[in-house]
Amino acid sequence: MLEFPGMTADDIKVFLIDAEEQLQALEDGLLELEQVGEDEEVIGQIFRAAHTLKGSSATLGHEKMAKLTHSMESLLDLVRKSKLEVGPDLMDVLFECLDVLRVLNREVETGQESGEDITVLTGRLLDIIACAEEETTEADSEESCAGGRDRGEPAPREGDMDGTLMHGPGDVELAVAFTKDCPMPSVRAYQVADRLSVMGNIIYTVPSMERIEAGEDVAELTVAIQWDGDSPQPLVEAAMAVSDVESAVVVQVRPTGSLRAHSEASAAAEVFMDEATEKGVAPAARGDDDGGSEAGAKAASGASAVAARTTASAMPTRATTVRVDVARLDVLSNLVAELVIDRTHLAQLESKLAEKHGGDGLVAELNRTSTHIGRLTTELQEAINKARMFPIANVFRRFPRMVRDLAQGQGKEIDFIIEGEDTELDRSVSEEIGDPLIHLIRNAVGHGIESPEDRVAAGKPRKGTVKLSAFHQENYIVIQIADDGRGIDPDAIRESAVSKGLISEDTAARLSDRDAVNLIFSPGLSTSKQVDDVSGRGVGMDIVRKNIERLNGTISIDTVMGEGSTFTVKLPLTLAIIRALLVGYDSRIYAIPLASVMEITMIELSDIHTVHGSEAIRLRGDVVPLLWLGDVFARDGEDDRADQWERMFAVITSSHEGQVGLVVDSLVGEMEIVIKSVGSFIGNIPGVSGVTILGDGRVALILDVPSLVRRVVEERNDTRRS
Amino acid sequence: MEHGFDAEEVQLVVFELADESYGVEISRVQDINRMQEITEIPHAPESVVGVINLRGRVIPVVDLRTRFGMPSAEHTKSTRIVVVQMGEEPIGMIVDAVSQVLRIPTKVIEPPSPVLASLDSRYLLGIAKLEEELVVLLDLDYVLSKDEQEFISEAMAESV
Repeated sequence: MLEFPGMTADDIKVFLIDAEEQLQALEDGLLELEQVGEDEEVIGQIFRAAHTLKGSSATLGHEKMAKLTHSMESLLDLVRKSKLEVGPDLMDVLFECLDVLRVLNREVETGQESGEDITVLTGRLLDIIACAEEETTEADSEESCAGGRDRGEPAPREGDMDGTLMHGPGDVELAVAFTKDCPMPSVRAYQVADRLSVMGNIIYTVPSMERIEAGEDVAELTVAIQWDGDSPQPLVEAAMAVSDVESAVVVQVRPTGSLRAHSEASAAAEVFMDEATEKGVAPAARGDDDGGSEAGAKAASGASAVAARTTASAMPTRATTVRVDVARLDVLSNLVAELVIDRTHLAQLESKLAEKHGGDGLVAELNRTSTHIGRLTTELQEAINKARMFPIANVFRRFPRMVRDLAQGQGKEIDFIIEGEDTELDRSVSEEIGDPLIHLIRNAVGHGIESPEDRVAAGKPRKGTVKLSAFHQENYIVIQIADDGRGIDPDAIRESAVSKGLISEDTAARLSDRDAVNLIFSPGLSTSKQVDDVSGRGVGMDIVRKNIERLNGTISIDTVMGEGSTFTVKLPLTLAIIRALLVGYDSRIYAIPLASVMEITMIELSDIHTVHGSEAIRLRGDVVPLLWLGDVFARDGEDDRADQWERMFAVITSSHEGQVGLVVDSLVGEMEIVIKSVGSFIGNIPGVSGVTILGDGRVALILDVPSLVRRVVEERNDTRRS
Repeated sequence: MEHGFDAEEVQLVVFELADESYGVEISRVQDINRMQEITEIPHAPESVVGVINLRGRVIPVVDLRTRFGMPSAEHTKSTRIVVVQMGEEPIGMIVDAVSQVLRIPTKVIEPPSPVLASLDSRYLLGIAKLEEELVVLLDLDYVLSKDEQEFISEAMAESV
């Protein structure tokens, strides 16, 4: 168990949120550094991220993390001062540091020690630092000496690291306690603050100066002050000189300009404000009146002197966003979903009432109110859905590093382009889409892009391009992964499918190129000649497709031999509510997601043909197999086929299994439905993706067309074999 | 402590099943409902009849008679769906009737004895001996557990 004495769960939460941002900034920075080479701004970004991490991990008491970031900072400082060149070796070390930091960060998250040993890595960092400094002349600036303090030591001295004992100018936080019998602590507090304000710029006080001046009870006073002296001792002495002061202790000394951000980070607990920009280094001032504006103003003046060291985004900006626990949003979504159901019910009741008591003024009034409530509910639903949206950048951000590592590992040169990372989608979708995308990108790098030599031989640029893009299309989000690699060879796939016994040679020959390419989504097919850890165990694409279909999405491929492949993933914006076609069969109602419905056609007995013992209809020249809902969902022993029918409807659905006509006996209508799970007690039912509550309170099954069709195909194959 | 009740008294919801009385702790009972339309779930486990809509929540419903391998009975006016909490999930149980809510001292509860009840003793927490009747206390966690669900359907399949 890893424990951080004195830290509350909220402190740790805030640390984690901040650390995650810093780690991401670090990664972004490193990737960019590798691309552009030495760039002052980029190096600055990396340095600041390491620096901020050092500060927050030291405050938290995570020694390893603080030590590692400290060494990184020293090294980056040399890079910043152009005493160290950016090269592949340096990049590798830095990326390794990042990986280790992630492991250490996970320690905090899980509370479990990982046993990660950082001494080797810090040793390497220090070696590089030492080397770089030997090359610099002795007469160099004092900063380089400061960096060189660590030289020859296995690890930096404790005192340098945790910040509390740091000497030299910086932001000092002082905790002042008053004696118990102090008659008017607020007056004493005012005196202390007043005295200290002469010695340096006061960044903030807890409680705020307004409260102290208002005479509120002050048990303890915390003062943060910008201090130019070497040792904070004079500050302690000045505070102790005020009567009734029992103790004055230096809580922490941080580099100038950093205290403001930190104090507010820990003050903000569950919900805190942050900049509208994702890149925000530190949370901005708290929204309440707890001296926030004052602290902000003072901090701004304090920070201006050191603007070069702090990021522009660390400046307190007007808070415009609020972070909310996802669980709360889920509660809201569920409530709205229930409201949507009731709205429908209300409308139905109301129309029944209108039938019964048409001319009644009360009915008209009810009508007005229910229409209004209906409109409000729709707006509320839209607003909540919007609140659940967030940019897909959160999903995309882990990919650049992945592509880099993959490309490096396989000796490929790849330009990875991301477009449309601002495109928003529902949290629930974004949580699920990461893994399929990883797979597709790995494939693009592993199978798609050729080696530089092959590319040159084919008359293409050495460097391959993989483009990941996202955009909205109606109520869907479309994500494309395009590479300019070798493309997919339909013949190779035909061959592979035949040799693996998936299809017969005849079938293979008859398949169109497009259908052949689509075979890569079949279980057990991989065209990769060798199995490697990147892709190609033949379990990939079918799982990708299943995962995407589970989200009510689709995936398709466009590929041209020698020119590259584009995978297009289309997903609904939200998983909670979908548009569906409600159909009836034998007095039961089923919902078919509109995404799978192509068209509806009326059929008569004479329209049905029998092909290989299965029923089918002709639809403009195509033969479409039929599935009777009653057959599919019949309970054992129950023959649910209505014999006495004249006409039925075939809902033509489309999935990767091809077109299938679902035979139903009535059409109820198109409706927005709220997807509910049948719960873990019943578990996964093939062919059913969930249930929904209809306006009249009845429960209807939502059909999962691809898995339904798959199941029936399997069953038919089984019976044929037996 | 063989029956697993810590307090001196325990409050039970008592229901009927094939002319026997069964009890579950009232704290586990969320709701008692009249029979309502149940939406069948195809290919669900044997004893799961389907799902109902309980004020906007979708709740699976189990026929306790089927669960216990008893012959199924026609639903009557007194048939009830007792909704109990299983972990995070509420589950409805169809019973013949709900007879009463009882407060009994835990000292009248005896450890399960296979002689006293027609059910496998693993389902039982104990048997409350009251003056006028015996109430079999069900171990809901066991009766409704998923493993047991599979076990029962397997056992049924074998016996057929």
